[in-house]
Amino acid sequence: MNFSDFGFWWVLLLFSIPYFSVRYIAKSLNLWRGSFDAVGLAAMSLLLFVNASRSSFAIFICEIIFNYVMVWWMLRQEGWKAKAIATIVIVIDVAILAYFKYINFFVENVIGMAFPTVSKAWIANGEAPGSSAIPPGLSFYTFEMVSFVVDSYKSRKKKPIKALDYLNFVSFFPHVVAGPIERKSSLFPQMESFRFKFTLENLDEGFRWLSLGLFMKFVLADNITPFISLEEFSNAWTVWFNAFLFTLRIYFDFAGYSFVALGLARCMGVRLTLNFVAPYTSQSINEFWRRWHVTLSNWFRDYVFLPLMGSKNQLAPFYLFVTFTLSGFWHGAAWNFILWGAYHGFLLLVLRYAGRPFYRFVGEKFFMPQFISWALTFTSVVFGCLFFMENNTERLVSKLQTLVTPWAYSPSNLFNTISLFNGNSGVALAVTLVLAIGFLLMEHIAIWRKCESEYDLLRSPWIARTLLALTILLAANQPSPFIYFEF
Amino acid sequence: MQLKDSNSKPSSSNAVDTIQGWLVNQIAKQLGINAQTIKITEPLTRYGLDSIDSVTIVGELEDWLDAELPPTLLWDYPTIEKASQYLVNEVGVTPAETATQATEVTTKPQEAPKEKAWGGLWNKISGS
Repeated sequence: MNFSDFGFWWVLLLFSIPYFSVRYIAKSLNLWRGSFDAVGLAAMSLLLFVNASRSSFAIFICEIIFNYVMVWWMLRQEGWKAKAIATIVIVIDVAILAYFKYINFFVENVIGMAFPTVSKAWIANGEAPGSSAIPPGLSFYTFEMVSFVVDSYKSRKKKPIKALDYLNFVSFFPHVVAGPIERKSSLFPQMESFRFKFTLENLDEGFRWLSLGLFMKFVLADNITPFISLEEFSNAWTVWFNAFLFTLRIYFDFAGYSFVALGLARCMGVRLTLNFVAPYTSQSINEFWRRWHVTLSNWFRDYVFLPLMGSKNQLAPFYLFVTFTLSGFWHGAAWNFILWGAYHGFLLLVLRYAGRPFYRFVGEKFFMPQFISWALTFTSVVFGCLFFMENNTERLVSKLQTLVTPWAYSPSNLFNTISLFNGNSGVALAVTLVLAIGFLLMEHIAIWRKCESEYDLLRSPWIARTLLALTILLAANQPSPFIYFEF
Repeated sequence: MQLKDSNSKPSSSNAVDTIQGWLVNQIAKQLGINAQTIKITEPLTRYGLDSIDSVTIVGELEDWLDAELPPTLLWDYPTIEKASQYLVNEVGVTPAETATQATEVTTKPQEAPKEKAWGGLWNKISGS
């Protein structure tokens, strides 16, 4: 759901007031049954989905019915029959995703390489119907449905599943559009016993996550976004600075979204998986991928990397590279995303084979080797963001050429970069960057102090209230679209 | 999953110590680092443990304990301390060498000298 859209909160309120009023009265008259809560949650989720996108809703409902019926059937079969049903469901789910997300890319870029006339004719005919924009949430709920099929197939106890619980598992409104990509073992039991639990503890916890998420999105991400420019490619300082700003933005944008989802769910008594764990405190790319978009990384680990790897350990590095390249491709049907995934896969292999002797050397020769590890990791992530943010391949190549050209780092270029940000806008950027860096520093301090969670300090009662006040005061006038809605 | 108190019984404490000792040695061997530099409370990625190493070590751990373990063990329990406690308290494994190794592992990595290992920045600053 688009939490920066006023319509979302309005529909939520319009539904909640009559529903919870009726619930309260019925409860006081002893007429309310616990299962009505699950019905109410399903109605709320579906209504919010319809409000977000009617055309996507039609696809979503068809997929939910299809998946539920097939999983229900699969759980009543044994052996090859169950396996065949699971395979058919997964193939169809992935085919639907591929159609909406990749068909144009495949025809224009893959077939187009061999047969340029086919590609030109395809473009001239107006591309495939319905494939011009990806239906919201398709990538996320498809992955969740696929994991549900696999986990159900593998489970030892073939317990029947109820349609309402399955509907609530997939359509639960805080996470349906952009994750976290929940697993059967973590969310489904909560849906089976779902009750609205507006306890003081849940509301307090939920409020703190909401404060954190809203601050990250509306103050940090949205105030940084207007300063990011893709146009400049000849000034190395500007290219680096834009990549740095984008690196901050994408974290605050997507983690902010995830924390709002976490907070909303927690207010109702549902615990979602923490999708980000202070990724910019990482001291290696390995660590970064255990902290960044955790549920997606775990999905690729469990359903791509581990099955590929199996017992063939000698091919493991190749499979690791393939998994990361696929993960890049999941983000979007464009070469820059494939390059971004491949770049991270490559970095992991470099770290595996060259990183250990290098870090051993650094550890022996330098005073604070961990600071060097962190700086190298963060710089690698910023560099990777160049691929992620730039979907114009020619301009991307120009930027890469600039970054390896020594005279592109001239003092005059540095001066030109600084002079881009002056006046009120320069002050606004400076204030936002101070807040952003302070925010990241708090994550580092939480690790340093060995707090239970990396966000403990930022979620402490007074800081949570301060962040909410700052959000009201400093939220950007123009909210930018959530980046991950495009995927 | 919530962990139970690992120190509830002397035998389970020995089992945790034995597994910790085995993991320290195995990880040191796998990563080519000095076992003395490994702290059991430090995330293993800080020593350069990657996905391939994680799966490999769990495979070897399965052979050693003669038990079926989740390949994602070192993701779900990213420190030696947490993984060992999970194995003993939740999975209920008891290494055969418990009795003999319990004394050996009292020299342990928690007492390791603070070298310039991969993950010691915060320890250095905080003085822990």
